[in-house]
Amino acid sequence: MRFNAKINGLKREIECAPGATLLEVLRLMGYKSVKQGCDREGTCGACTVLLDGTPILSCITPAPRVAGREVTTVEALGDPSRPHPIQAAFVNAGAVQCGYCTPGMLLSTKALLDRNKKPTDEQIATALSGNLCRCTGYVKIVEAVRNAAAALTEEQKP
Amino acid sequence: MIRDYHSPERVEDALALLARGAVAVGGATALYTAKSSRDIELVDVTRLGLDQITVDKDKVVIGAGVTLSRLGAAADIPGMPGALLRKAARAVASEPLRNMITVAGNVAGLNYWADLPPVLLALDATVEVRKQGQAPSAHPIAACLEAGKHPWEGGMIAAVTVPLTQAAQVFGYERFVRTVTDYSLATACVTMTRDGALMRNVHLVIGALQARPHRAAKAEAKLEGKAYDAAAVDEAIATLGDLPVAPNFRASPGYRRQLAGVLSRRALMTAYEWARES
Ligand SMILES: Cc1cc2nc3c(=O)[nH]c(=O)nc-3n(C[C@H](O)[C@H](O)[C@H](O)COP(=O)(O)OP(=O)(O)OC[C@H]3O[C@@H](n4cnc5c(N)ncnc54)[C@H](O)[C@@H]3O)c2cc1C
Ligand code: FES
Ligand code: FES
Repeated sequence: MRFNAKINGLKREIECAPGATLLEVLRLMGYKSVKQGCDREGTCGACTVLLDGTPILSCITPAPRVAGREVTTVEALGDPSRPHPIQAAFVNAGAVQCGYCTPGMLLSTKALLDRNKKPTDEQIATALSGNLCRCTGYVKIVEAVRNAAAALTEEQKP
Repeated sequence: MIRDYHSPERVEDALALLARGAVAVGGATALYTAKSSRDIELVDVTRLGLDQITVDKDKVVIGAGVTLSRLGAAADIPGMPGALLRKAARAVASEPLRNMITVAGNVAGLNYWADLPPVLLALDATVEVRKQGQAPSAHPIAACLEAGKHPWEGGMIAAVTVPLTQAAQVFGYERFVRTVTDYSLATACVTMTRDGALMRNVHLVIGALQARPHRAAKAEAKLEGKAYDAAAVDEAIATLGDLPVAPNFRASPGYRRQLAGVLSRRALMTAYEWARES
């Protein structure tokens, strides 16, 4: 199958088997931030990407579903030399250990903070409910999201 | 193996593909997690414009493709049905899954853990079905949950309709899980209508114990048309002592049966409390 989609702001032509998942396609295209944690079970959230700004699980998303739509992966946020405020907040809070869950956590956080500038801890927990972390115990992750919210609000002040 | 994937934008085109044996795909959260070796042709039913929630005076029509996130945020569905649907939708799985799971997929999947069917049964919902070359048809959810052939086979669910009334309706909803993203071990959903001090149209639905949710008719009969009465509630709960339970690895049948009784009592008490205050 062949179709077009926007990935991280760039129009891309995608060619894949009809049964391909979005995760398979993204990784083959080089978006290696998108991880596979569980075996297509939809339980771990390591494969989270944004589809038109909304978090979804790419491991169980049919690739052709994104035709004509916009996919965002962590590659769009920033890199070590210019980290996005959310990425910086995760590093500074010590919210990253092995890092396998981090791309999914960052994107779930981005979607949350795009619609809610000052989330409560409960809203943070709900937004991250699909992202499992085996390492951190979540305390530092929630702290990072709080700090990222504060940093983004500060950044937007005139 | 998925042989082909179609993304029609017109309902008629989707119906033609379904009539020749293609399989509807909604949120894909069941179809893409199942490791099927079946050779199938898929029809994506999420681009057909069936993702609207339409509120009328006497009913709300929830399009097949409405996601559980959208339903969980649907502040425009009024009264008791709105509050119950929002509560149930928000309790399902995790945020990214709720962004994907569709109302029709949750109904048609007929998983024992699916959280909308018990609630739709308690709300006397109807399932709207479309098939190629046939007039749209409406089926009570109770009939759809029976074993055997389902009305949407060879076609698709287009919407789910929930009746709205001016009557003073109340609900109680209890769902027991070990972690927020776990499947329910047992669910109890109560709806009833206050008529002065009396409670009418009592529905007590038990979910997650058997393959399909069901109304606890004997318990309902103990409460129908009566005012709140602690002894009648005890009698109603006692009728649940012999509920059949389909075994699974989550917990023993005895535990889940007892849980269903505890949750039913809590759901009933919430509904009575609400009725007293309203
Ligand atoms: C990890 C995990 C946890 C979950 N936890 C829960 C939970 O706690 N509670 C809960 O309720 N659900 C839960 N779910 C979701 C549930 O198990 C199903 O995956 C979901 O209900 C299927 O909905 P869907 O829209 O993704 O359907 P799909 O996967 O697209 O389809 C499911 C079935 O419905 C059919 N279908 C889809 N749309 C239509 C239509 N319009 N007309 C006719 N047939 C149609 C398909 O052909 C298929 O047979 C969970 C899922 C996962 C992966
Ligand atoms: S890889 Fe685990 S949810 Fe997608
Ligand atoms: S940092 Fe290792 S899984 Fe989260």
